[in-house]
Amino acid sequence: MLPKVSIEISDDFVDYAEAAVTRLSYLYPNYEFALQGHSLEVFPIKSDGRLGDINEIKRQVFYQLYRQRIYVETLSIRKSLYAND
Amino acid sequence: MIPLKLKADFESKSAPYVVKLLPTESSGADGDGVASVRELSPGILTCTSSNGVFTYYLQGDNEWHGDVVLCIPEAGRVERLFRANSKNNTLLFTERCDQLCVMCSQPPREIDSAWRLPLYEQALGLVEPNSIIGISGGEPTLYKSELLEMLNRLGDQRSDLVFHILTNAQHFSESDRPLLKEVHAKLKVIWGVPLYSASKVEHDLIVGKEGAFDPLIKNLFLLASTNANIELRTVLTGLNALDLPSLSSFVSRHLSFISTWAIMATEPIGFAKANHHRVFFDHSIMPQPICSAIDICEIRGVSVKLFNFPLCTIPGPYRQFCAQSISDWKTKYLKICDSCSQRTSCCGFFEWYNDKWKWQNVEPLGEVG
Amino acid sequence: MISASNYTPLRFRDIGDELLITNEVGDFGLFPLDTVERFFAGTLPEKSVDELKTLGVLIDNADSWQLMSLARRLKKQNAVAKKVHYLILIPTLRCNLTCSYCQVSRAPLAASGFDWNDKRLDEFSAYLDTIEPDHLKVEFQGGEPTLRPDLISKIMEICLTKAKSADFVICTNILDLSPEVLKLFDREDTVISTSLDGPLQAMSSNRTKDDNLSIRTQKNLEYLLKSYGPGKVSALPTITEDNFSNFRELIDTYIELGFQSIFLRPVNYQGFARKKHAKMHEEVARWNNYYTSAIEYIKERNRSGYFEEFYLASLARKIFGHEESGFVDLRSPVSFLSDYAVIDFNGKIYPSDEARMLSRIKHVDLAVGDLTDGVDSAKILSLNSAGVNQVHEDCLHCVYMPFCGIDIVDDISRYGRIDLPKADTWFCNRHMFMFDFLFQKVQSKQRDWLDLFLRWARRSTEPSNAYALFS
Repeated sequence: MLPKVSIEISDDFVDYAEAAVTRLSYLYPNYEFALQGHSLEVFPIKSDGRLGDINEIKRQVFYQLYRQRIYVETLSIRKSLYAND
Repeated sequence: MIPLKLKADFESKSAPYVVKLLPTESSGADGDGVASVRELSPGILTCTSSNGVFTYYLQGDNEWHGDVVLCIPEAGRVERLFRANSKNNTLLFTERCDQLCVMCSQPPREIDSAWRLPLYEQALGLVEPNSIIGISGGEPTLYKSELLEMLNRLGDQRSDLVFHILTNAQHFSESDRPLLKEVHAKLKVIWGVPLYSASKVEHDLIVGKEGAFDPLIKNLFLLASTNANIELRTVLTGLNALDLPSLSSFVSRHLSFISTWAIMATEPIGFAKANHHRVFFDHSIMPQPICSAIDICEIRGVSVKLFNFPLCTIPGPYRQFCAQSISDWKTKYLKICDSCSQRTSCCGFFEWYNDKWKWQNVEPLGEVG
Repeated sequence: MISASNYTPLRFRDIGDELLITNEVGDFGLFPLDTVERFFAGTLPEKSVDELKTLGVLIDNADSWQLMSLARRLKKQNAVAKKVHYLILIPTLRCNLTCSYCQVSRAPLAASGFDWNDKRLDEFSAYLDTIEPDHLKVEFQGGEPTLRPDLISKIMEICLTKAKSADFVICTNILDLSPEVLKLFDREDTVISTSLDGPLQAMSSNRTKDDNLSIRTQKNLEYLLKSYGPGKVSALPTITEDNFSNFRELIDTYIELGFQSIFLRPVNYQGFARKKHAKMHEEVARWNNYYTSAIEYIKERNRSGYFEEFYLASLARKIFGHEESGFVDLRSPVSFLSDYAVIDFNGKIYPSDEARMLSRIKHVDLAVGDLTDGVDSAKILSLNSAGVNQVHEDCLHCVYMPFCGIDIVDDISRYGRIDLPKADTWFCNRHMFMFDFLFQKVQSKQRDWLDLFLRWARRSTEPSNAYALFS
């Protein structure tokens, strides 16, 4: 069983943390993700091999934060790209 | 070589005018804008029209029936604007240009020749049906509104004509969209637009104008959105040859709406000659970038052609892309071409090709297959 | 440096020890693993900045031509056909074989009420009036359509009257080649598609249950190939787990007969839905293992001639050659019935052949209308709305989104629902595997594979020097 992991989230990404947690909880139902201010805590409920080691967990957390930020920040450009004129 | 500007003797010094040359005995020889012609001996013509009488001497090509010529009595000169038996009639719309391409074959000159434009339009009204008309420069779109409005009027009168217009596409803007659309609906216009590199730094360097690349690409999109027929043109020089595959990838990615991409060998005259050390590239010993560019276009479904490349200088499987692209009046074949079996399907060489501009692998080809 | 206004959507995934990044339309590049981190930190090396500009991810300003290019290409990629131009027709459900994997989509040879009647023909003719087809491609499926050459003839005539032009595919087990059937095959506008599961023994165990019948179809196939050439005849294998070890024999059979392509597709046991996703992962892993061995072998066989695995080749053509694949089940947005329709023996209209099978076993009713009453556009709309990977929460962050699609019908057939996380579906796992496979070869610059992809992309045995397409 993996220990609890605590990940510090910088100011630049804190706005996207909640969306990232929602997404992470959906993708990895065997882990619990909790947001405490700037800190994101990950509790393995049951190891299913999908999120190997601590580094892998951290990486996936950051990837989700990046993805949420990219999504939010590019949404208006994206809409204009798809708009038919 | 066929000289297109010829000395002429005019009986009176009137303002410049255009006439179409028809034999005296033909019907229509007394029509508007027509000169009735007596051929005194082969190539020596006396032409009579309402504008007066002149005599001139043909050189290189003695066929004149149906030619349309520009007469400049003050200068004692006749310009053969449209030769009826040639497929390579090109109007030099202006000699001014806002770019200074390192290999330019027709270096620009700051000459105001706007007076010619109405005469060109008259001349276009007189040419033989279904002619293909080249418009080049200089940069024709420095007189953009004159050009587009002329095309629009001709679209009503002479929709049989096909235009091939060389432009650097720097000067179009959103506001031209309606007129471009109207012209393209009436008339077939092929816009020949040069792009030399996928790198803006390199392209700008080659055309000698900083900031040329971005407006060019933008205006290609603008042209495409008005249903333009676009022939993208890339002259191969020592500066851009090795980057041709990356340009091919760029073209097939962003500009797949073009009708054709023409990869062209340099015409060794003008600036090209002066800048030999930067411009010369011997593709005959290094055809790989060309082949790779063609492979990419084949995979991505972009039509590609090779202009001005003699067949023997291109590897066998790629010769099918070569076009007979050199205008008849400046084509030549070399001595060595005499024994070549492919001569009739080869573009030959520019008149100005010589020992100082020489590709290594030039040789007669045997029968195909 | 990075602000919300100067970049366009990017997606990323680790491939080997690099980061694959795609833009909104599927242009891609390989970057150092920490690229997105440094992208946001504003510490990207100049090389990465230039490459992200080339991808149109980083843009100079809101007026950039890169945005025009992205928009134009999106419009092209997502264009929805305006008219139906591909029809699959089931003139009869009856069949003279009982293949092991086809218990549900056939009726016994002697059964009645399973063929199109005159009324159906009239309705079909009226249906074509409503779609005003330009060019029509019509595929006759079954059952075994050649049981009714008379019906096929009549339908062809209707199509040629109503459409500006038409061509036809007859999907047949070629068990019986009667003179009437051969007359249909003789037509210049008609090609033949048949099933070929491998050598005799595979044919017998999967399909005919009888070596004599297998020999007959084999002889018939050889006869057809000899009389018409391989351009006119195509074959499709159905692969079950029982045949996994025989991939060499299967591929050899195709090559020896002169085929240049094989479509390795897993059989979908309609209705035998998987209960547990753990099992799904094992099952897709078994398939992917099989598939890897098979395409490795196909690569070997390409040393002496052109032979493609159709699906991988199609993906290579799409990703590297920018060719639209046109696969009905690899699309996004899904636009059922915009260009493609299946009409069953009973006149019911389905968005795909899988949807027809699924409805046949009463798993779910995916009929979207019938010839009598027309199409149910509300139902089509509700199906389509679940088929847009550009907005699906599981797909929209995926690096392969621009190349992939959504197959609602496959999800329903396997899981009875469409809202399972995509990562837990067969479709997603199979496609992730295929995309990973392609990009791993690109990342590791495996020349033998890259050369093969280029040959397939160009449909040529000639080598291409087009490596610029991989960077």
